Amino acid sequence: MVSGRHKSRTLRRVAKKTPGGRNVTHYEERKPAAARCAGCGTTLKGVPRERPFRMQTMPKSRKRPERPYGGVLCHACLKKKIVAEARR
Amino acid sequence: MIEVGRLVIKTAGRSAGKVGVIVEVVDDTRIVVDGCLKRKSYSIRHFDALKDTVKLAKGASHAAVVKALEGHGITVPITNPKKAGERPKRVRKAKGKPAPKQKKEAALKKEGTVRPVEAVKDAPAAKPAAPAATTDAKPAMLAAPKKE
Repeated sequence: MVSGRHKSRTLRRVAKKTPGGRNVTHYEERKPAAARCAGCGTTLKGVPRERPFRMQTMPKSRKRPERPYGGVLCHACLKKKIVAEARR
Repeated sequence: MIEVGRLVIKTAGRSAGKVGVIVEVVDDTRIVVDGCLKRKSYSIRHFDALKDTVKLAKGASHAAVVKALEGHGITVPITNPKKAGERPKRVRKAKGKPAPKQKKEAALKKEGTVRPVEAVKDAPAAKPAAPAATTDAKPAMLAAPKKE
């Protein structure tokens, strides 16, 4: 029988085959959702989807693009912002 | 709008938001920009032209660009890139390299773990060897009992 703590849908079910040849089900934690642009809401590129431990051990340059507002705004929203500020 | 001396602002890349001056117009798609950015050829699509222009000759030097921008109230940050120094030359020993085994022994001798083999001076005199017992003579216990 499946134990109660494994019935949660926050866990994903992964079918695995053991070295002994048995088919078993492993319950693994899901990754977080992709980061979204603060301006338009599109999925941001260059921002990894990893659990907190892996994000903490990653260097900063791997977690966002090397660009002003990298990891916050998409390239299109950034361009709009720069042009709007320059034309004021 | 796209002419030598026009002030532009970069809208893409890691130098986005920085101001520069068009130094040369290469063709319809490329311009050479200098100022707060690296002096190189860029795509026009990555820039937005500003209202102001600056008096500048085509292909002006970086110093002239800095002077022109300072007159316009824009200070160009001074970057002091480190000059690559001379590579340290590898100094080789005058003598030839020893063989690997000798090298190891020499290192161990320095540490003091290997004692050099010396002639044994105060060894005790060897005892003379005992005479070998004859195999024909049987001990008294094993001798056959006398028949009476």
